[in-house]
Amino acid sequence: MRAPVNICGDVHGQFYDLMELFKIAGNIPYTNYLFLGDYVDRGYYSVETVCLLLCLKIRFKERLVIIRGNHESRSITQNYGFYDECMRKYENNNVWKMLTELFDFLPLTAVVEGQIFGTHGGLSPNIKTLDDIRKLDRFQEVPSEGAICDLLWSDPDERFGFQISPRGAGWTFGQVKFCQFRIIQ
Amino acid sequence: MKFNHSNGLKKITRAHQLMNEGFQHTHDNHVTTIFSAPNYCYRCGNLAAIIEVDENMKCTHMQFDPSPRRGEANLAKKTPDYFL
Repeated sequence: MRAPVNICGDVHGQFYDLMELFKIAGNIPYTNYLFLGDYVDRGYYSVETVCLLLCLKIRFKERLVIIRGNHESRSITQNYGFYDECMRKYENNNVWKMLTELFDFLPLTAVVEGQIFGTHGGLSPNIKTLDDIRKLDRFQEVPSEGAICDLLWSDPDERFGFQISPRGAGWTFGQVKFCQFRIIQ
Repeated sequence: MKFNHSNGLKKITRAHQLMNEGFQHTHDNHVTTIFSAPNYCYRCGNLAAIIEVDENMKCTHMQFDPSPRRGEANLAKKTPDYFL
């Protein structure tokens, strides 16, 4: 995607704080945005938050990119609030079912002007180049291991190379791996 | 999205971890973590931030506080189990 753009991290259903973000940093379509996932769970307004972002995407598709976070998943949302919120607000799980199905179609990464790589979590030992990401079949529930899981779950770390993550999914990635990934591009 | 293979990546931006200041640089500034949920879970007291990338690819950070509109006063009293 093109610059200028505002890059944003986790929102987690904090709808009024997302309004504050737009107020401070500029409204769509006058300002471009890249959101790096985790729109739902934790906060009280996951439905409103994700629906607003999806509507903005439909209306102004050139103005924002929304990629997938590890919470855009059927299994995670059943434990961290989004499923419960849908049941409370609609008294059935249809909205949750449709939105989690839609989450399977969100892109996993984005690149700004070929220079800034954006993803929710981090790198994967199974991904050496951007072409490796293009080859992934992303239209599925977030798997519990493998490249898709790693992009959404990994964390940077001071230790070199890929190490087992304390989260139980993804990896921690150190400086050596990051440098290798940069040079290959 | 327009991919440009001929240029090397300059930076990774990612989210996924709570940052008290809303952002953090690691790996000699080659990785930036950004977190845009202020006062995460309505209790963490953290600032939120976004990265502003201008047309020359210069990155600046903008921090922000929670919205002054607080509609969740009643809900906040019953903290769900998954916050604990």
